[in-house]
Amino acid sequence: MDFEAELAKFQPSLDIEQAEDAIYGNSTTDVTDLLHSILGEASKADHVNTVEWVEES
Amino acid sequence: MNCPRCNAQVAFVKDRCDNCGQSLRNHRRIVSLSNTYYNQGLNQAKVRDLSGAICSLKQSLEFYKMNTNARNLLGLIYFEVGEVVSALSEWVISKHFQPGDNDADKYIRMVQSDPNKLEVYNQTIKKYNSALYSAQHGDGDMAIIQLKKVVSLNPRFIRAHQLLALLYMMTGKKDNRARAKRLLGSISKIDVTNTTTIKYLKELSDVHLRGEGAAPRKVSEAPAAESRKTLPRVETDAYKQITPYKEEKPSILPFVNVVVGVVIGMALMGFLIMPHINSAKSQKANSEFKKYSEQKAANDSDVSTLKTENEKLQKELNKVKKENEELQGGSGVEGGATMQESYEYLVSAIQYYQKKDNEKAAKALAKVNPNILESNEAKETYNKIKEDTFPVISDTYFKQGRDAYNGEGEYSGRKDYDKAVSLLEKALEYNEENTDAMFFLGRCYQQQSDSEKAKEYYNQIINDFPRSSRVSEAQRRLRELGE
Repeated sequence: MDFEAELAKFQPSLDIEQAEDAIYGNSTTDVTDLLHSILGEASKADHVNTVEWVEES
Repeated sequence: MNCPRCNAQVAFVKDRCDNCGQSLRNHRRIVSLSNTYYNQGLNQAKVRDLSGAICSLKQSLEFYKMNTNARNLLGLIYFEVGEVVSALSEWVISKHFQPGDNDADKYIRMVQSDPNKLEVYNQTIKKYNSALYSAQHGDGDMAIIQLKKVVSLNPRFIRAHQLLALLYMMTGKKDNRARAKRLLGSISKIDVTNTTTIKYLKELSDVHLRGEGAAPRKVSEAPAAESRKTLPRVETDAYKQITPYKEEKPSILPFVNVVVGVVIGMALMGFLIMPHINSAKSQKANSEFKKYSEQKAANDSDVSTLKTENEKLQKELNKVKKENEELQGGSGVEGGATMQESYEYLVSAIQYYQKKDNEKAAKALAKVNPNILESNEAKETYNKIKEDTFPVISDTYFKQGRDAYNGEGEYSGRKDYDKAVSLLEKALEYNEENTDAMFFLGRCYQQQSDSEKAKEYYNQIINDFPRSSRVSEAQRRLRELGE
């Protein structure tokens, strides 16, 4: 076993002072957010297409 | 379930929000997936598969961040493995998404209710970070000292235990490796599927702790000692361990035992019994040989005695035979006529001589043995008749032989060398000095291509009778034969 490589894998643990940063830095984007983002973009695109459509004579 | 648009409470079975009209079908599917992962994480946590539970719960939260149950459980698991700050973070976020009726409140209060304990947790984390820094910068001894304190203060801090175990393993000392195994053994009971712990334990598979395997034996020995004090002594094999039934497999062991037995038997026979048997046979043979030798010696003695007696008797027999011959008028010459016969032939010869039948007289006289004639008169008579008859009869035979040789007279027209040889030899019997007969014998043999015999007769004439008229002829014939 490569002990140095194993040692390098260890990361510092968060202490109490760092808790606030950890909470605010936590990624809160989930699949539902992604879904709404996709749906929102899709509805926006539909709205744009509707507005810019011009009837040809 | 809350509406993702207006956050209004909506029944889980509804497809659309009553408040804002938001379609909830896809949202519900995502929440279902999140709950599935939460259930999986919960099951894993129940069997202390904490590492697996953390993965499942994180996935659950990635699908739906407001899954408060999953987040609270994740916080609890973090707290269980000594990650207090991570646990508090999860509970705080959970409280943020669900301010009311949330178990996170209870968990946060539990931690914060004891400030000293919280301070201890904080100190252990700081010491762990410091020890990690020391270890990563080559000060392993300092790191070990700090981590020892960390694990004593927080026995559930898995990462600290793992780091301390790794540092112990890095020293390579046997006792440190044993300590590392003991540390890893304690945390493997908290999180049974932690891959790092399992990997380190595998690395330490050659280390055997003092208590391993010995403990059960001690437990079994102690009651036995007590029973000896209180209970009657029981034979050790009276109670045997009941083994599960096994189908008997063909084994070569019985065969090997038989072979070994046979070999041992043969060896015993060879070393103990056979020498005795051989000795008995040898003694018997010796006694028989002795008996035979004695008998043979006795027989030899008898034979010797008999031989001596036989020789004595043979001598006596010869003596008696000689006396008998003497009494009968023995010949004196082996193969010759006896005295009586000689006199009878002599009388017969005299009678033929008186009748002028010289041939018969000579033939009768030839049978007489002159050596046994005792009286002088008989000898003189013998000599007289011999002188008068032998040359005559010799000459007669010579002439017949010559005629047979030349094919004349009685043998006219048919030369018969064999007959000639026979007649000429008779001529020499009656007169040994008949050189004519000798010469013609030589001629006969020369004609029969028997050069050796021919030369013999020619040389006899030349050497024994040099005055003979046949000498010159014999010499000439010898020259013909290459002499």
